[in-house]
Amino acid sequence: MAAHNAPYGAAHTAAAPSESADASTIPAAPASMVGLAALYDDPAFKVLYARVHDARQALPDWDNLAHVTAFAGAAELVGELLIRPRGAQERRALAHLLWQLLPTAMRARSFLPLPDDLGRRAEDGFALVPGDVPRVAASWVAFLGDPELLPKALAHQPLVLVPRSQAKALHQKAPAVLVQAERLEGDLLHARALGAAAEPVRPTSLESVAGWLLSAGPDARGLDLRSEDDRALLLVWAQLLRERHVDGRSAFAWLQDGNAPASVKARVVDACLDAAVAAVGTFTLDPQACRFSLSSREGEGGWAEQAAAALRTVALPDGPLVREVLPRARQRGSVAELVWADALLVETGYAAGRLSALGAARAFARLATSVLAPLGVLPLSGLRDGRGAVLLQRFVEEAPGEPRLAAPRLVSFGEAVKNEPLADAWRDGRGLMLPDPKAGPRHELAAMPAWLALFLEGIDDGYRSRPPQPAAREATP
Amino acid sequence: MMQLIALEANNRVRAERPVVVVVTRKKCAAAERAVRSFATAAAALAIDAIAMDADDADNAELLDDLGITCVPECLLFARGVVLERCAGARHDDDARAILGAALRRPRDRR
Repeated sequence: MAAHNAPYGAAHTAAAPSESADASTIPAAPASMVGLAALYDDPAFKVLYARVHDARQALPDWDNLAHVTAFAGAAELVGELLIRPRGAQERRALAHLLWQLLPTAMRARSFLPLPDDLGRRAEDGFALVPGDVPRVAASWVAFLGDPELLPKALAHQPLVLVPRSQAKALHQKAPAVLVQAERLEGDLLHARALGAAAEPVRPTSLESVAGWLLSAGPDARGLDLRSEDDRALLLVWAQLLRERHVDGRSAFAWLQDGNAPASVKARVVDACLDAAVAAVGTFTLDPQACRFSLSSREGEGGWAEQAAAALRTVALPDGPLVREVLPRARQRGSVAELVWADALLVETGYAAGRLSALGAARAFARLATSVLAPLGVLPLSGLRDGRGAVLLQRFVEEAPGEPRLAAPRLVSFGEAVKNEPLADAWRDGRGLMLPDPKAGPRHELAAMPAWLALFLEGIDDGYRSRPPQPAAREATP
Repeated sequence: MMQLIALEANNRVRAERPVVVVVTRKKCAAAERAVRSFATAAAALAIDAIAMDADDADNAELLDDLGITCVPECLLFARGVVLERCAGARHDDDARAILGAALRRPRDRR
C-alpha cells in the first residue's frame, strides 16, 4: 500500500512530498483532481513531515514519554496548518502523520490516508466510472445456485453452528454451538461436539442448520451507492484487488475471467476477503481505540503525568487537541484517558477516515454483503454485544460441483484488526452473542447471481446518469 | 435526560424507534458534556435519549455484556441492535454527525 500513498509512504524515507509519484493506477479513472497538492506544498507541512520523519528515526521504541512529547510537538504544527480550512482528505493525511508518533503499542492497527489516486476523487464525490469495479463473471457465482449445495457441502464434515438446545454449550452466552458435522440422514444432520470428549449431539434438522448458516443478521444491508462513503469503500476494495495477485494475475482480473479454473478460485476469493478487511481496517481510525491510556506505577518517574500535561497544553484553532474520558472501572495508577483523533478527523464516515470499531464492522458487513456474499462468503452482523464483530461463513468451490464449507471465522475492528477462526475467538470469550437467526433476514443463495447482476447494473446506471466529466485540470503549480 | 436502570433500558432499546444510551457517572464533567451534546443531537434527529449510571450495581451486567470501558460512552440502538458507539463527542454538532451517519440520514453538508 505504501507505494500508493507516496508522500508518506514515503514516510520512511527522507524524500520530500512529491506529486510525481501520484500517477493514477486506475486506468479508467480521470486523473483530474488536485488532491492534496496544496497541503503538500505548504511549507508548514514540509516542516511537519520532516519532523515526523526525523522523530521516527530517532525515538527508541521503549520510550513512551519521548513519543508523546514528539506527538504533542507535531500536533502544535498541525494546529498551524489547521488555521486554514482543511478538507477531510487533508485532515486524514495530518492524522496519519500524528499516528506515526504514537507510542509503539498504540500503533497495533495501521492507519493510512486513502491511496492518492482515490483521495483526489473525493472532490468528485468518489463517483464511479467504468473500469473501477470488476465485472464479476457469472461463473464465479453459479455454484451457489446449485439446489444441492448444502447437502453436498455438509458431506465433507465441516464445522457448523447448531442451536444450543442440541448440545451442552460451553459458553453461557452463545445461543449456538460449534459442532463437527458427520453425516446427513434424510433431513437430519448428525454431528459431534468439538473437544476431547467429542460426544455426539442431538440430530439437527437441515432447516435449523441452514438457519444459522445463512442468517445475515438483524440489521443486514449491502452497500448504498448513493452514499459517498460506500462508493469510496468500494473503490478502495477494488484498488486493493488490483494489488493482490494469484498465479501472477491480479484478483481484479481473475474475477472478470469467466474461464478461471476452479483451482485458483478459492485463492482469489481469499484475496477478495483479505482486501475487504484491509479496505476497512487500514483506512479508518477509531478515536476511542487509539486514545492515550496513560497510567503509571511507583518508580516510573511520573512519566504518565508529564505526558498527560504535554498533551493537555496543545491547542488547535477550534479547541484543545485532547478531551478526557474516564475508565469505567477505577484503575489503580490510571492517570488519564485522552481522546485526540476526533479533533483532526472531524467528520464521521469512511471517506473522512473516522469510524468507530462498530462503524468499521458495519461498513465491512455492507461491503461483504454486496461483493463477498456472491462469491460464497456470507456475513452475519449485528452481534448483540455491540462490539461490531462480523461472523463469516463460506462456501468454497474447490472443484466443479464439489462445494465445501470452510470453518466459520470472526472479523473484528478494534484496537487491532482480527480475522480469526470462530473457535479461537470463542475460546477468548469474544463473538459469543450471535443474533437469533429467526429475527433477521437470510442470504438467498439461489438469488445470488441475480443479486450480483443487479448490483453491477446499479453501478452502470450510476455511470449513465452522471453529467459529462470536465477535462482534466492541471495540477497546481 | 431520563436516567434508567438496565432492566428498563433493555426494554427501551428493543423498540423500533432508535434510542441513544449515554453511560454516565455522577460528578463527571465529561459525562455531563456528553449528556448535553447527545440529548441535543437526539432531539434534533427526533429520537430518544436515556442515561445509565456506570456505577450502579444493577447496570453492571448489561454494561459488561456491552463491553463498556469508558465513561462517558454513548450507544445508539434500534430494535435491539447497536448501530453506533463512541466515547462521547467533541460538541453538539459532532454528536449529531455521529448519530446521523449511523442512522444513514443525510447530513447538512450533503
